[in-house]
Amino acid sequence: MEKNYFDVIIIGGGVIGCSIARYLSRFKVNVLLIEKHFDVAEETSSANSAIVHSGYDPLPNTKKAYFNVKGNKMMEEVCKELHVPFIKNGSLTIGFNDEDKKTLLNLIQRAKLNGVEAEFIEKEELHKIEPSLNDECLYALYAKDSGIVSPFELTIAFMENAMDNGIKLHLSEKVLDIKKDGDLFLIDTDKDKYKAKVVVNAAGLYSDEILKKLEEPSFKINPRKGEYILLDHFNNNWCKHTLFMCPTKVGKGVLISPTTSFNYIIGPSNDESLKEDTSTDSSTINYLKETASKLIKDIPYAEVIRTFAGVRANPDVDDFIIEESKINPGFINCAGIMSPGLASSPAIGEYVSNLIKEKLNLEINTTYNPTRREIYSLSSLGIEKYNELIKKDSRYGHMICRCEKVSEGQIVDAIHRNCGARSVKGIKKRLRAGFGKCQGSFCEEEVCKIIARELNIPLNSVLYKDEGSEVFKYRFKGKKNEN
Amino acid sequence: MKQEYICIVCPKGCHIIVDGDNINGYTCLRGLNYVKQESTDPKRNITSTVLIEGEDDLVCPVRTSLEIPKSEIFNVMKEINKFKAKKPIQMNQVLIKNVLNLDVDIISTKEIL
Amino acid sequence: MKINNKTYDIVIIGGGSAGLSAAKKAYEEGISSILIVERNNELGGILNQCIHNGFGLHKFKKELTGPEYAYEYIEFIKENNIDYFLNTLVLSINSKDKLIVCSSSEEGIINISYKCLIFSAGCNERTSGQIMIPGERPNGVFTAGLAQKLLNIDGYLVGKNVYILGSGDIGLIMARRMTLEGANVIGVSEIMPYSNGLNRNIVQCLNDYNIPLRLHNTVIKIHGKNQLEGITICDVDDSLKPIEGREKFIKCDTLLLSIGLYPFNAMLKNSGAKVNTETKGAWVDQNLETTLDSVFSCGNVLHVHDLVDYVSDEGEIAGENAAKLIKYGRKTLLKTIFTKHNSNLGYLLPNEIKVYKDLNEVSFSFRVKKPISKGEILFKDGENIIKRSVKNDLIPSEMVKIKLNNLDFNNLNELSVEVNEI
Repeated sequence: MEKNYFDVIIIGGGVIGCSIARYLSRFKVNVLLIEKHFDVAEETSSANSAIVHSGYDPLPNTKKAYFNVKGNKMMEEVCKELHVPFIKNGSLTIGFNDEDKKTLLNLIQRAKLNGVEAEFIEKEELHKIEPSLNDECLYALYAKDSGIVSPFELTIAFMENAMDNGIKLHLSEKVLDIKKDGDLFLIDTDKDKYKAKVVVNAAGLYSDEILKKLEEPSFKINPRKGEYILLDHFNNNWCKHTLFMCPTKVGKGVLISPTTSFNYIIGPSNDESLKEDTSTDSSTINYLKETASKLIKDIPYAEVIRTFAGVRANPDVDDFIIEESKINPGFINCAGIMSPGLASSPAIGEYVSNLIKEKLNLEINTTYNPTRREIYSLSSLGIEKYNELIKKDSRYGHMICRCEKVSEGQIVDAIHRNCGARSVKGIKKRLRAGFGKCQGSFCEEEVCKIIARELNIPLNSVLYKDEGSEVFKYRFKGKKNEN
Repeated sequence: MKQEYICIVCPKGCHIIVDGDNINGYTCLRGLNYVKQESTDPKRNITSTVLIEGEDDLVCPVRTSLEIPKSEIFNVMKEINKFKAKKPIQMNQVLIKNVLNLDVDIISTKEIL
Repeated sequence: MKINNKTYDIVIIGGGSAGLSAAKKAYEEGISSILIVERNNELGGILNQCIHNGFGLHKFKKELTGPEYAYEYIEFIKENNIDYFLNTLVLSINSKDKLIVCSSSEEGIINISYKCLIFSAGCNERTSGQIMIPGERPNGVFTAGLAQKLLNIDGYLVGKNVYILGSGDIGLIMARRMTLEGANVIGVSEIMPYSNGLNRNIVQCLNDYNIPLRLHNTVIKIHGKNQLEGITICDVDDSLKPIEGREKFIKCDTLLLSIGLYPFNAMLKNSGAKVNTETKGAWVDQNLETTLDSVFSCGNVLHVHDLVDYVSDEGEIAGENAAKLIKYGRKTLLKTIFTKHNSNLGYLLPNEIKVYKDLNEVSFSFRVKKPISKGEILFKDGENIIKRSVKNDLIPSEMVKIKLNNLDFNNLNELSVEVNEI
């Protein structure tokens, strides 16, 4: 087979592209995923609410409703296979007045149509199951199947598992041009030229621009930025459920939710923005604080770790775009996947891979292993088993990140896995080293040294995130390692 | 001419006023000596690091054994930057003797064995 | 595999200036079963990266650099064969069973039982995330301490065009260090109308190198997606809000943050110790014992100090009292007096005085909340003034230490400290 020929090329290493890659690896197929960043999960998939929505909210008979409900049902099993923390913490959509009550009751009807369990609960029960709530929180729609998952851990796990099963990944490579040549697509990147039978456009925010390289796009992405506040894990019982506000004419308000690491997330805002604008601003953060105070008063902002922003790939149509191009069959758009995209991701991956299987008449990959090798940590193993691990590999005893208790052994493992970490941020996304309150002030130096040693590269070429972000920039004496 | 100095001898940071031979505001003898020196020929201790042979990500901290004229700071830095120490390094070992003929040595401030 | 167990009379968490001096003092008091647990690969803590001079004037009557100051103690530890574990992180404190759980490569997980525990784990630097500086999150924004470590221990400059937010001493010291090593330090912004660093550091770190200090000014935006490309600074009004029209863009590849330190007290808090909400460190009595039985706290994990000499003093108090508790047992408690202070003080230590027979001396430390050019310091029992002193130039960045002695504390009903501008 030609070196640069692939049955399928997936453009974009977000949660959708990586999920499709993982489910495609169930078949005997030659797949390449191209991602322009230095790591997967670098844009929308690294900065969102991290909610696995139950599926009561999308309008019935939409793709959103279908994939959300199906994805939510798959998530627990998928996360077990991939060793990604998933917590079915349930969501409470809070109502504050009679009008909200009506809306919530209507949403319960919608939930029924979508096949989702949703229960209306009154104040007394509501405050019993979530004691931190404000007194003004009167009613709630309780969706017990709602959950939380780390979007970047899930994306990375999808890709690692896909690679374990033979899928190829090219990072720091940007697609420049796409042409159709008979049955094949010709893809030019800034590094190479490829041919593929099927192309999956999972380019998220840039999916309209990717499509434009081939044909007149049938949709447009109107990016919308969401800003968030992240709190430390100061108390595991502060807020147990994902708290939404009842949607009103004004909007959906903001949510407060625990994360799988028992941090708390507050947000998002929802404003028009540029695709690459992940900056935060103080007026939006103040808006978040003000709005969130309706749910819980006295949020402990002394526990803030950081604020951040993510940009949603908001399409100019009302539903997910998951379809083959009519002009160029074989080119499959998976675009406009905003919320509930994370919840939908396994279902979309499975669906699109099945579509390609039919199209290319693929055989089953009999060696496919859906299970990703376990990641060992003190919290997952418990102290005695972890001690046994240290006796086998002493690097697990050397703790590097003191806030999150991440060891040298874990960092080395994360670097050498498929789709391994190669940057400070890569380690942070996989293991949470540097995720704590000190934000890496104590461990960033050691993390860089381990990366340099394990990848056998000079210390001053270790990156923080993308190319050009060297942490140890200048060896400033002598000339030896001068940058 | 009246000139005000903030004493840097200790963390107190006394405001000392020098008006010709008249010096006011100091609270200790070291402060008086400092301002006499500062108003005529300001001097500073400098601290930096030197490279160590065979070490790519470790340097040895150093200081001047005595204060040097302020105007010589960057010249001395050039000498420090040229120098490479050999392990083992003892505490307060003289690394550069009589740097730039200032009668001051560059000495290590850490034991690196 | 079995988890190893060890037992010591005194276990010290943190081998920095507080822990080292606590160990030295406890040893001098006759305790030989001492263990220091240090997470780093050497003793000395942050002193190792503070290679500038100015330490030890009070303790050693000479001006030392950080590593030299640490060396004075490390030599003592080594000469007297006091045990220490390096590269060892304490995972948890179990004060009920009087043991700590640690992890290291050599020993694996170890349970270490103690008679007395001294918690001297130091402090953290505040980050850009905590103060929620708006903008992007590129590489190039460092806490001053991290940049200091990379510069002074590893030998790398994190950037060549540097701006510094916050006039804390580490920021000022780094302004000079980076200038000496060839970086261009563009300026320092301080949101308060006064500097948070020592005057001597403003003189010898900024003025000596013509680095401007902008007071009542702060960073309002970080630019650059991947690598820092610049910042927007802006003057602020009296309520510290940015003033429109007074923004200025500054091109730089590095932003150092010297915006405050806070005790790294989470582990003690999680083990149930009461926290002093003003210092964020532990709630302690005059012996620096926390609300957990036989657990002491000292140094920057108790409250952030400006002078290492005072950190060592505090380590000695903890070390001495831990040793005495082991040697003589607990004395009969006559009463407990909770200390109070007026609103001009940011905090006051100790939080409570445990009055035993013959207690006649207690050391207090506090900081003022805002600069006071001439202050009257009053120690009062109700309306009754016990001690009065006057001090000039009280500033928040300088801790005040005052001793009350020759006083029968058993005669007191309450104790409050007031600072008033006169």
